[in-house]
Amino acid sequence: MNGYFIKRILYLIPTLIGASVLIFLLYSLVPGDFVDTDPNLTAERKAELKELYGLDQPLVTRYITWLGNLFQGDLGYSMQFQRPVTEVLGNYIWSSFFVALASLIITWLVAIIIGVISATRQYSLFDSIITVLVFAAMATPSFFLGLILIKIFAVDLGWLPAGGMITTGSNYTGWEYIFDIGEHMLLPVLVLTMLSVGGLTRYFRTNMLEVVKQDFVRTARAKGLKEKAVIYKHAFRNAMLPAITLFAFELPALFGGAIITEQIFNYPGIGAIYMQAFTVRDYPLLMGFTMFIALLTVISNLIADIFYGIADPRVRLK
Amino acid sequence: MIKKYASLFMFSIFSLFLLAACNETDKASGSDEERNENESASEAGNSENTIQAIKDQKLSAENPELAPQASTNRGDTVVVTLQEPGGIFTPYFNSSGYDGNVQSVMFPPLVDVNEKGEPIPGLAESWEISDDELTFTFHLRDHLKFDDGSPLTAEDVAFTLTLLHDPSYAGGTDITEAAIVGGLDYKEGDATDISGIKIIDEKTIQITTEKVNARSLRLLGSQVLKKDYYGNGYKKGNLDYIRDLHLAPIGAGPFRYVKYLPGQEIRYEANEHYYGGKPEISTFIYKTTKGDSQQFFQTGEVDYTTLTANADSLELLKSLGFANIDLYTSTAYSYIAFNHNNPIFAQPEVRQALNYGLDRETILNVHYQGLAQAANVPVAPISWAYTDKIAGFPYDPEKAKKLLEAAGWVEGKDGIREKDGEKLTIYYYATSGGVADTLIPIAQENYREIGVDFQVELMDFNALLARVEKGDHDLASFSTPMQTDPYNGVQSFHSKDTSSIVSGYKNEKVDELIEATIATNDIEERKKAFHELYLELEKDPPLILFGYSKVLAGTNARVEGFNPNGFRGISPSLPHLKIVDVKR
Repeated sequence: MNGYFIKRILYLIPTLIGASVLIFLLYSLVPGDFVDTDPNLTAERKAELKELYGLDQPLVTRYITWLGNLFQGDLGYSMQFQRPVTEVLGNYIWSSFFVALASLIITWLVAIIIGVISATRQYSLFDSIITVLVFAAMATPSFFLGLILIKIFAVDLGWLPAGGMITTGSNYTGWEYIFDIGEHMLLPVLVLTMLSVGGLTRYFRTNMLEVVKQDFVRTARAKGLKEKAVIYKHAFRNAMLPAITLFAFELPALFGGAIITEQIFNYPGIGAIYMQAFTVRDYPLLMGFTMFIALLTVISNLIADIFYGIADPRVRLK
Repeated sequence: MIKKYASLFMFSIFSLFLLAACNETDKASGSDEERNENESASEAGNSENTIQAIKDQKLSAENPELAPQASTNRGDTVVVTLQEPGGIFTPYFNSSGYDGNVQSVMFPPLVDVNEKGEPIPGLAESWEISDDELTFTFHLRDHLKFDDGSPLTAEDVAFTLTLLHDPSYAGGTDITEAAIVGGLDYKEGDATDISGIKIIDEKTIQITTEKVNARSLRLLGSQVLKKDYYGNGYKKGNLDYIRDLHLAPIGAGPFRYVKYLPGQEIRYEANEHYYGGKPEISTFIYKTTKGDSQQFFQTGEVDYTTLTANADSLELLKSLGFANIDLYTSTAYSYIAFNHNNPIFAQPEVRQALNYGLDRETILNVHYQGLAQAANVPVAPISWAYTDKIAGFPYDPEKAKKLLEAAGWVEGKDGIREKDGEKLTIYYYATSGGVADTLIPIAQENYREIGVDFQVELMDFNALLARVEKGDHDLASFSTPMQTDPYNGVQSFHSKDTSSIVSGYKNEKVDELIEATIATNDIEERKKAFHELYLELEKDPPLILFGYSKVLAGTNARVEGFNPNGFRGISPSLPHLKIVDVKR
């Protein structure tokens, strides 16, 4: 197990270097850079600024400089904010994280409950209605869903704020502050949950259906266990096994932000900043953030493999 | 009820007036009769589908008592929307224009401008320009103070001007344009101060320049940085320390900076040291948004916002009842740039033909539903330099055809003109999502009619700029930023100008005339110079002038005093904001 673990960690290094090459090349191939965004600059001033930002260097030199800084934990300097990339990410990433976390917890709870009930009552009225509903939610574009919810709950009914993270101009502290943020998070979390709950529900339903047909479930029933015990103890646990992988994959998504949803709800998250950085070609911020997500992805992969091994002796590697 | 009928009545009168205006311009089309800037409505397509030009106007809220509870609960805190700034709140150092908005609340200039773009006193009570127009003497107001209570003196003004000459200054202001005596010795040489800047006493500063330039007054009379704050630890050649002050500005405006919550808001409080007296409202907030802000206005979360200028948004504001509406013309103009390095455009006739052959009024009317107008000169109609005596290029396909014939482009078999075996195919680049979406189908039809094959490629703004700089385009759509001086609208036509969008245009007479527009401080003389230049530009058009856009602003009726204009936006209004009780 230990040898395997070390091997997996060593594999991470080439994977990350590969990812860094890809990320760097993709961004540097996009036409235009930060200095080009300002049409008012004269050619001389542009050349001066490009030199200042190092944009006049050849690609390979820029890559090596970037990678070198990366190894020292330096993601560079955001051009549009004139602050270190890590500081900008820090400013926005946590607000995205809390929304994603809330949505993740709710999504999983709802999906597990609905998935299991749907599976145990396959083709029932409940199953059909839920299937239609989750598919409808899944198929609706997030911007449309977001705007409809704003229209209904914020503009027409006036129950919830139309966007933002806190009430503008408020000076709340303590519980009041948390309540205020919670109120503002409600709609974005609802949208994100509605979008992702569909896929996950189907996933659990299928898993559950498969497991219920297995021999050990029949054995459990045959030895006279109550149906509840059969489903929730024997079948459910086994159906949840593949979910470990799935859950670990959610780790990068927690920090990834939700570009469209954040935009619509005017939420100060990393997704919206990412989009803004792209429109002004703030490459250090874009590359730094993408690299961060790449790192989280490979780590979550590793975690998934390890947990899977712990949970399921059948796949434990020797 | 009576009120409602009254407004209905007013509205019908208004429509009648517009119809009349419209008929009049129809009759007058083609002649040189005086045209009112706002009456240039034309019939778009068939008569059933007529879109009327809507004038700049102010409309008072009909039902102020409908103001949402969320807004009235806020008391004397006023919230205004702003696009997310970059977080650089030191004047002269920002790259985003939205940072400029944040700064203008705290940093009034020495010389301000009024709603026509004419200079008016700001921090400076008055100023004198010597007879040779080279020496400027600014007299500061009495008892000026920064918002921390310390005095603002001529020393601070001198420091600001010196700082802008620092060799390591990396911002967007080019102070050398003002050509202060000794300025270059400081910037490029080893001088320790600038000889042309002379502090006469605490309240008076005299600046001598080498060259007459009408723009110097505002360049020199700009915002003031506090010397013992922004200059604390300043050594010539190193301005890195200022980065740490970007998020802690000290100014002298009506409001004092309190804090910035990235992605959310910028908060200010009333400044009791402001020369105009402490403002009535206690807190001013810029709420930052990422685009649409209509829902925040509707729910009362913001008191003032600007919306996409079209008739739908105007209707929406009217339907709310509690919105005071301001519709005003912006100082920017939009245009379609030629690639002057392409031999097709070498003949002015071809460029004129492409101007005449494009039905700009229809495009603008369809897109903005009457809240825009076709441009005739490269300056907005609200500027003192504007003239309606110059026709621009009203839509005239017949004239366009004749011009193309004259330039040697004759119609080929498929209806597309040819010359020396080459087809007249033109590639147009634009960003998607804006007016280009409306322009493309209409322009394709327009140009087809005069025998031009119009090809289109859409891309995002940065890609557009990068490709235009490379010279890949034939035509490309752009809009100017806000223009405080009419010179901004023409400077890129000068052959020595190195900005990338209008490159390769060369006309000696135009060069001379452009120089003449800033060669005096006398507005009447400058006016003449501009009009002469505009006439000359018609003979050799550097671009296709497109349209003047409007700004549609809504104010919650609970706040009085917003009086925005195209030159300074809302900043002149801020000291005068007042809360009124709408729930009587």
